[in-house]
Amino acid sequence: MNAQPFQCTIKGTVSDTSIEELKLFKFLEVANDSVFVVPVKNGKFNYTFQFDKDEAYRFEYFNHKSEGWIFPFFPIDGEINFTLFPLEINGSYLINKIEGGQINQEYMGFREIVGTQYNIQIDQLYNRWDSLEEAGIFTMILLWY
Amino acid sequence: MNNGSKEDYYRNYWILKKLRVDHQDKTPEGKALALKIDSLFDASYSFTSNYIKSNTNILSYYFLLNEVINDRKLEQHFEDIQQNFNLLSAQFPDHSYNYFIEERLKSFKLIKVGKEFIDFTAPDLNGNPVTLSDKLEGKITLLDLWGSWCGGCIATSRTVVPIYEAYKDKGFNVIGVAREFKNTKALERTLEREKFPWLNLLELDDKQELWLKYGIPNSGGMTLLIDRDGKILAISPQADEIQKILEKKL
Repeated sequence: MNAQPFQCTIKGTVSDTSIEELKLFKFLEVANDSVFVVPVKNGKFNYTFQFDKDEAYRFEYFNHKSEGWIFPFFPIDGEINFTLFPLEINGSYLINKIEGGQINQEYMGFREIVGTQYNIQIDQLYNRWDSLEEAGIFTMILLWY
Repeated sequence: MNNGSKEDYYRNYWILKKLRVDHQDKTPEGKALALKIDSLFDASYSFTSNYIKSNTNILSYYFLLNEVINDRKLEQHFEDIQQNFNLLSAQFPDHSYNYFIEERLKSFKLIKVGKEFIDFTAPDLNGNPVTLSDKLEGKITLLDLWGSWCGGCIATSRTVVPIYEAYKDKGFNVIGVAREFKNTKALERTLEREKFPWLNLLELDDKQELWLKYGIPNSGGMTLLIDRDGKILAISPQADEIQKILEKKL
């Protein structure tokens, strides 16, 4: 897929109503490069953009506490529906949903396997890491200024 | 480590970073936990790599891109990542990921102590092109890749100023390259404040992809100490390490 531009419509809901916009980038672009700003009204968004080749894009979104998240997807010549859950929910990256496009479905399936086999355990161990740090028994060296 | 100043914090940060590689900074319980996390990340990596080998699709290329962006994975799995790249770049010969990944893998091999620095031409603040190799002039040179938006880089550069002043007439030089975006206003303000006494060049909007070529596409910056013959003496050395090397070599 290349040269001819295709149109992708992204629709969806964002459960965290403090999110007012999604920033949409090609995955490889840095924040200072061209960016689509997708407005979110009452937790809903509907936006169409053009793309010309198969590559990953990413949403970046921030809540009122400036906590942010990145969510990748693959545009298709058609419509994709998203359900994005509050960032505060532990493992929200596992329950966010994408519907539309074979590669996005493949990604969801892969993410579920990796999430349940590895990422959930890693998250739990990092929670334990935090507890040890809070108790002052994780590291022997403290660094601050 | 608690020495009060921001500069000391960044100096000690580099010491701590080295200790963290083998979890030498941690208590026995902390180390056991960190090793468990490492082993899960390794298993997750193997699962992803096997997926890539069995599915040469754009999703696999996205996964590979993520692996390449992650320095730690590159260090641990370079050969496997290279193998997966060969597979996917053949499948997608015109894809924009090819150049990024190829350059990143190249820089990972090239930017090492003992290897030669990568030459480039970048404009000075007046827009005049300057070629790095022309400015080395047989001196030991610290290449300071930084940016006005990178607090850690500025703190590091500040620690170099006294060394520059002490050794500039004995065969030591510093050349800065600032990675800026859109315009140079923030850079001009920062240089006015910091008054770094060495030549500063500009990398605006990654036009020359210097950060990618030097293997730090997602970082604020790094420093490289380059010997008179162009070989890299140290990567992101602390100020006292630079001083020790200069004492020995000058």
